Amino acid sequence: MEIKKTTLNQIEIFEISGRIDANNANDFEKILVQSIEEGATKMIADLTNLEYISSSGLRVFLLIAKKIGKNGFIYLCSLQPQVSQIFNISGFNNIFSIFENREDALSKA
Amino acid sequence: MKEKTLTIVNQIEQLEEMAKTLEALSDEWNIPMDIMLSLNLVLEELVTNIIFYGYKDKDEHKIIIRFSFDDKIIQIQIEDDAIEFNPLLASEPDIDESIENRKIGGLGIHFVRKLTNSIAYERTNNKNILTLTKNIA
Repeated sequence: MEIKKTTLNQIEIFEISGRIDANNANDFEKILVQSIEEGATKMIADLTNLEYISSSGLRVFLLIAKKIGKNGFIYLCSLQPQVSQIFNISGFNNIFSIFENREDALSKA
Repeated sequence: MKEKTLTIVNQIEQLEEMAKTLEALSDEWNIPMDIMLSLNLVLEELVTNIIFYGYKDKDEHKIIIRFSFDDKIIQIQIEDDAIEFNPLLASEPDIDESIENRKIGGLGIHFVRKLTNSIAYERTNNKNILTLTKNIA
């Protein structure tokens, strides 16, 4: 897993690539939680290059969404087929705002 | 019938070894990558449960994963000496809950059920033996 963070108009954009599994989900959680602790309330996770996610990774997205609550948002965009399937099976596609691409996510931000 | 056995120990870092084996099998047995990613997920969820919740001691334990493939069906058997756990008896998560009420756990076994075609569990000689099949369409 690699994460590249950029900031645009006070929105933190995380480009996540590789795999998020039970082995590295804690590292992923630390990075996102740290951003929230530093005051971030608007986040976009760009999953263009995320090829695999398990329940450990979904757990982190849910945790972050709960932490942000009504103070802001975490939007997801550009899900690959395997990742998209996992979001659908888990019902997370109904509780997260998921966009086709980053431009769409930014336009709703 | 093609066959492969992977033996790992109860350390979470071994997930990497498992992923590599699945990738290699995808090539060797000519199985579509999306099927292999689904099987990787199923195995990760089950093996992670075993490693995190299955043992009362801190000793090293073996987890044996046997793959077989007859060109139509992949069968995977997981054998471990962890505490008795029948995933077929695990309760289903409520996947219609809102973010505020949505519970964190329970998803792993839900994925196993949704991404396989059959699951059978037996407890023999103090071992859990879980046999899964996946049809290759």
